[in-house]
Amino acid sequence: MHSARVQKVLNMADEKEKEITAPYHRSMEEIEKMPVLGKTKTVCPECKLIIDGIIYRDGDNVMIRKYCPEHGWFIEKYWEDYEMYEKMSKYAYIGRGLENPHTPNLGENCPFDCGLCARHKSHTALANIVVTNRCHLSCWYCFFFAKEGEPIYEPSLEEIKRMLLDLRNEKPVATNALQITGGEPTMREDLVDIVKLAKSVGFDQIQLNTTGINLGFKPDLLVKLRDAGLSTLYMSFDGTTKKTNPKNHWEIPLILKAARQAHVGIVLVPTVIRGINENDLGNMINFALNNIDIVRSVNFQPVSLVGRMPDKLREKQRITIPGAIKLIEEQTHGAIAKEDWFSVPYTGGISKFVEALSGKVTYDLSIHFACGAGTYVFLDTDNRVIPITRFIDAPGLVEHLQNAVYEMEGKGKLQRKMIALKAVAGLRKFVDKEKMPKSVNVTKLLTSILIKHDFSSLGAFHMKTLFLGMMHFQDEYTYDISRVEKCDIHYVMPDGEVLPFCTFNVFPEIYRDKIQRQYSIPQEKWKELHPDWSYQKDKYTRDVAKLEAMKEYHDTYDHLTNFFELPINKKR
Amino acid sequence: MSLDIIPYDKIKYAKIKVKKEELIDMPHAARLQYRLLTNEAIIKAKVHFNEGLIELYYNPKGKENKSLQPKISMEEILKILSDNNVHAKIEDVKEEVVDYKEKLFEPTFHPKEIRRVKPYGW
Repeated sequence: MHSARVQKVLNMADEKEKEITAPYHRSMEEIEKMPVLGKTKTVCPECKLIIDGIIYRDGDNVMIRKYCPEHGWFIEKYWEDYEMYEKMSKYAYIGRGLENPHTPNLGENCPFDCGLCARHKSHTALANIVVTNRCHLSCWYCFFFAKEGEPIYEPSLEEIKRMLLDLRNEKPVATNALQITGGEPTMREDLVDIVKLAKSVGFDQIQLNTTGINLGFKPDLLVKLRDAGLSTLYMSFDGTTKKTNPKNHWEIPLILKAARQAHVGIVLVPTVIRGINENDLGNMINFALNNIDIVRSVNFQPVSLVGRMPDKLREKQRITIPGAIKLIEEQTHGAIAKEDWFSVPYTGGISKFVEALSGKVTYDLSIHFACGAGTYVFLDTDNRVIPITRFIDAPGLVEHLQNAVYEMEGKGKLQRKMIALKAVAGLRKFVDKEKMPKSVNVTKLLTSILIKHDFSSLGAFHMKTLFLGMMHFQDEYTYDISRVEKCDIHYVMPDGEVLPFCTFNVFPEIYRDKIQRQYSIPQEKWKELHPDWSYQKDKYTRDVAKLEAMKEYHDTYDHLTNFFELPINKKR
Repeated sequence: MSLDIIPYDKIKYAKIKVKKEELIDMPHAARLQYRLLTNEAIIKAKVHFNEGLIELYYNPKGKENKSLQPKISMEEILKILSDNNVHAKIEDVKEEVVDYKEKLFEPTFHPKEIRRVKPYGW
């Protein structure tokens, strides 16, 4: 028998389980009576027929239902908090696609017309370029690496240059942020040359999507990459324990050390899966705060359940952005609450102001509100963790800027400048100086960005803060075409096409895998060209005992301050 | 094959006239496009529901085609269509040999400007 307290906890867990699974198990009669929040187009996960998707409210959950005449009903969780859905949707706006789309298609057969086409509604904000499909790990769940005997995709420098110029040629906004990805990009001997090349053709922000393992063992390589122009490591980090992060838990201490030596910032990238690591989210933020000198951001990615998956498993593993945000609130004892998060298109209000003032089309994050969310937290000198929203009235501020944009419409340059100056002077009323962190002057920072368009100050801002992001990529069950047509995270392909993340990865059979195979070479041919190469030689073998005995390992994991347990953070 | 080489040389461009009612509607036409694209030898496919027309670029079978990529014949393409209840005859097909690099590759890297946008608020 359990004690009364344990029983209570178990009952609570049961209740929580019911709360999670109930929306999947209602009758269609019940479901059809629920309030409809919106209609969209989606695909049948089985046969890919374009069908209607109905987004509806089921208690606190926002769900999507769709009916395929051949395969019946599909019910899926879309967003796990109705209140947040309402709040985030307020910032939705239609962005602009390309003036020179890469394909002549008009997008009537979206998402099978991709490339990008004239229908697309966002410019490329971050471009991914796959530089290899070789990897030193063989994670069972990963589709991104060449298994033994499979063709090798590794574009030449010439091909990479062509793809990079393709992105820089996009109009009206040339892509300026690049993520070099794989496979594992550090498998390439010429990675430094690739970074140099990207820098030379004009990319400002160059990230490396990596496990970090090779860099941990070769810190000099990271110095060379930094000198070549690398800005950030975008590093897989699925948890703070051996169990939650089997991918690189043991090497993380060496990677942090290498990044410190090279002065290269790190974005920690956890894939969040319910039942696997959802209880470790607060710890991951805490880990980042403990390493805030080098960790710039934690970018959570609620799992995308790509491929056909049984209903039960989907229910068990599915987590959406608000689901993860609510867990963070619980696990940080409210220090980072759900009210602190805003959808990515919130920033549109700020970029529109900058544009209206400068008269130049600028970088714009016009993605769908359900795709991403974020917030900034400050670690103040007294160890207080302060989300930006605790001292800035974020909704008020963006409304204020939007009103200034309306006022500027049709006015001359000088008048616009006057309106802008007045608007910026008025920003003070949205900042609560009493609650502001002592370590940063936010008013000065905002003025610098909005009036001088000096984004270098944003870099300094990042040095003192931690950006928390959420990016939820779609799968066939949650697929919403109105989301994918607004996507701004794209992949450039060797045939010149540029694909949104959620067509590239959700339909690999017609995009990612198909196109990469066209530009790949068989492993036997690869072996002929690289006589010293073997599939086995590429693979990493971990010496756990040796790594756990290292000083860096103990320094990293044994003495973490738990910021969220400190009285100064608990009492709020 | 070296990685710097374009994967195709001469390919075929085909226009297939089909019955609009066999395409059913736009969602089914889009699915047919998806199904055609899942074939490795079909490089590009576009199903135009309103025009009752299918446009394809494919890597044709034939001794003269030295490409190492998968290949397909028009008869096989018509069979795929027929399996999807879209019945076209060889007489409904107009095709020509085109250069992959010139027709597909280069235009994708050098797309035309089709519109201009102005800054927000202007």
